[in-house]
Amino acid sequence: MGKMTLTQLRKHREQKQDDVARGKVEGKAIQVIIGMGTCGIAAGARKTYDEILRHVEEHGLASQVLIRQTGCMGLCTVEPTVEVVMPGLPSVIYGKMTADSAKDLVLKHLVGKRLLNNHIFDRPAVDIIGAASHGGAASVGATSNSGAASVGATSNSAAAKGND
Amino acid sequence: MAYKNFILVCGGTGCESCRSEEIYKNLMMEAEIQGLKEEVQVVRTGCFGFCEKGPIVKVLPQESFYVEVKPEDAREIIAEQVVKGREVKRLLYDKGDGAAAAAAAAAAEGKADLRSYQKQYRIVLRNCGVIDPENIDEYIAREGYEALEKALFEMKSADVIAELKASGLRGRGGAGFPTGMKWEFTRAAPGTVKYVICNADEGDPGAYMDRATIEGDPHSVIEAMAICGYTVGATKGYVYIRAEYPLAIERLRIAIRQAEEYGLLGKDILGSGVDFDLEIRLGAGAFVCGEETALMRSLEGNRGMPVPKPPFPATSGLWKKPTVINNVETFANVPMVILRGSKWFTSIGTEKSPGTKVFALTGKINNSGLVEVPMGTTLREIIFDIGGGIRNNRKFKGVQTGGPSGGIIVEKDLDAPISYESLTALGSMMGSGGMIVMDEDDCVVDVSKFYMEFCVDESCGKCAPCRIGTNQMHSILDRMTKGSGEPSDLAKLEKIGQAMTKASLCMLGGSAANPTLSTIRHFREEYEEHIRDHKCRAGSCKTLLRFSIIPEKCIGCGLCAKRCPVQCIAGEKKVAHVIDQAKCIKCGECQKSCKFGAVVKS
Amino acid sequence: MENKEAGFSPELTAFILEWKDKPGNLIMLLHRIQEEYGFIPRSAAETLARMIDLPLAKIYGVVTFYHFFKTSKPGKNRIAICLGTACYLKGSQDLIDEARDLLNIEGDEVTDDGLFSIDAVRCIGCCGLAPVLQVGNEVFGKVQKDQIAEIIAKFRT
Repeated sequence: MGKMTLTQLRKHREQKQDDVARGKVEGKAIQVIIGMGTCGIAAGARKTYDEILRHVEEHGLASQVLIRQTGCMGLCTVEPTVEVVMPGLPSVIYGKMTADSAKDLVLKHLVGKRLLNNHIFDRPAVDIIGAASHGGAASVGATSNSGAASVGATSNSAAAKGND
Repeated sequence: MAYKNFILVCGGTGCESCRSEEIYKNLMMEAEIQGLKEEVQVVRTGCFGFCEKGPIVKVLPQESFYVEVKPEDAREIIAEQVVKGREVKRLLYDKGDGAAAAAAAAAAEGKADLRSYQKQYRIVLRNCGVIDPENIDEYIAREGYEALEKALFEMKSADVIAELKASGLRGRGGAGFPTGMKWEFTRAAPGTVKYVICNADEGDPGAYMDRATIEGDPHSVIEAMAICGYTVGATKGYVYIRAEYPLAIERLRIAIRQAEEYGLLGKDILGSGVDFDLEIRLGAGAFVCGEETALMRSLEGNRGMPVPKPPFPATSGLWKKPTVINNVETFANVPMVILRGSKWFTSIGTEKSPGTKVFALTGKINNSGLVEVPMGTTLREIIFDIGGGIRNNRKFKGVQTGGPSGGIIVEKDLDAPISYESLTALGSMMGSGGMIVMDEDDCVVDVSKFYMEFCVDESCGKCAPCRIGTNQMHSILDRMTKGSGEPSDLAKLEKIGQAMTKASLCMLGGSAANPTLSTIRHFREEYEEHIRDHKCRAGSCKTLLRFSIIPEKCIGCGLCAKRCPVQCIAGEKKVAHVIDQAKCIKCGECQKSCKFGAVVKS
Repeated sequence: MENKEAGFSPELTAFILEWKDKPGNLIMLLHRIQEEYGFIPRSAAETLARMIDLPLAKIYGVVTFYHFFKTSKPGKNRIAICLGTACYLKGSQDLIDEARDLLNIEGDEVTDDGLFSIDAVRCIGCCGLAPVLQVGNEVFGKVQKDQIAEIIAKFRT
């Protein structure tokens, strides 16, 4: 994709949001997301990544599981951190996921559909972009929000001009 | 077979001491008794924070958050929630029925919904730990570059400034100057060549908010800088970033390249006719370059020494051109302020300090990590609720904010709501966001010495108060920790400190005395003990330590003598041993090895 | 002054030519040179001075101002021990003392075999893992004093 116009960018965004709403990223239903900030990597996140990848492949799950990286989740003392998103199970963040926990993650969580003991940590905050990920209703909210905001902006600019 | 419910039982140390293990067992037992073993999985977790309300139980997928749960509540949780699908209202943290309604009402008014038990609210870190920072599409999918669109196509530059001013967003590098005004001055400054700089020279040792933001969400900064360029009429921006952050630099590089490919940076952005280019420049390990005038000298390829203000960067900055210079965290706020509006932003935080602040919570704390809280949150909430309290059940001594420029805040002030003004009033400062928790084992004289040593290393040497003052203060503090402090030393420290505060050219020297002065204020008796009694009550000034053996407790096993690296412990077998104080190097191995508690430290 | 020893690699030369005319380029150029040599050799500084037509004194003024730039060759393995506040509170000074003891070097010195040097650095930014030690790109977290010998041994081979 090269340089975009405004219309192209908006269309591109909608398409990406649709993918997320349908629960499929790059055509895969299960996502394993590994925290790869400096802290995470220092605590061994790369090894965890490689081990999860290996076990996913060994169990023939490669076509369903997308393994990807993200930045710091904020839980620095329990690095490496891994979030798992899959249908039928609540999304959870696991901490202290060193390479030897990778097998458990794949066997128990991905295959056995059970949550792992002693590794779950709470998501630190609500997602303020949550609006986008809840699909329909929220995006209506977003539209009305931006509508309201731009009205506000217009009146602001009028006020600013008045001040000039 | 798949479980319908998951019951998470907090297994953090705080909750465990409140019988969370029993709760866990009871839940398992009840699930079995009520024949639901196939329906529900009971899971033990790590610490959820919020320990004062523990034990915590959370039920998924409903997200029911139960507090102060007792073992006998297990039956009801299983019978009600798992069997009948009803929440156990009396245990809920948020007992109100109208949670959804309240959220909707807040949204309708364009305000933020802040009623979460989590106490954190993530604006700056909205995408950190969520998106892949090396994939621009993931940023775009989460409202990324929507603020840029809005600014370019729906707002005049005056509108952007008006919105920012109305939002009350203030500089997150620590000084707290209103961002909208900075932009306005730069926009109004005469000249056609202007610059935008992002200050990512995060030098406070013990702070890593900006690193995490760039590593986790580089596009938020890029988008904000492009908005800034459009607003003030600059076509060139620089990110000045610490060379010690290779991963952040790499991710920023990738992000800039992707933004250029999509036409979100470069010529004629999205067909708007606006041009903006971004370049990365590396720092080289000089703390003083976090000061904006020094940073710009460094960016010009010189020694990074500060120059007096005025002139301010807004009129004469980089290469003497009008320049906006904001910190990473300030920029990361901007897209959300533009997109959600100033009304939303001001509904978070306090009146004079709207929005949130990111802190790197570290030191002697259980859950050290990166936290973002609304301004007005108290230090107690951050340290004890989010941070889970002090490690190893030690006693809280103080918390340092503002790093080597800030001060210590003690127990009695922990309930003050955080804002730029309140922290200054407490003798510290907001600073960039380092928050270092100390316990009773940390010596304030030693910590002051540590910060002063840092300032000695980092003083650029241009002005005398800082160059000489930091050295003098350091040598006094150093001799105190070694037992040769003099009675007049405290007065000397205060006098030099005040002179430096008044007479230094920039804030490095102007604030270098803060850690020392604030600890003298709160812990004067500890300083006096060091001087008068050659004693360090925290036991961290090694020269002042003394290990000795209590003869009554010593059985003469000889283990300590065997472990001693300098062979300074003597004694016959089965007879009490003695430490030769002259030879002892105070390593503490003897105390660690003694099984009878006969070795004491004083 | 004639100076032949600093024959820059084609990549380094290309980089310098690319940046030659950019304003404020000096620090970026010095970073690139240090990346190549591990420090800023005098001969390289002299060559750079000629290439970008800048007085050597100005270059040295900048090199010596910034902690990041080194003017002497560091050990093959640079042991960076974090002296950020969080690490200091958790005893990183002891780690430095122990490492210096074991390797029998002080300050910026390099071991006789050229294998090791020790840098006390300010905040690597992994405060959650304090105290932290880094050798090359490998980071060791929550390091105890008695692990130092083991870590050094690992890089000796």
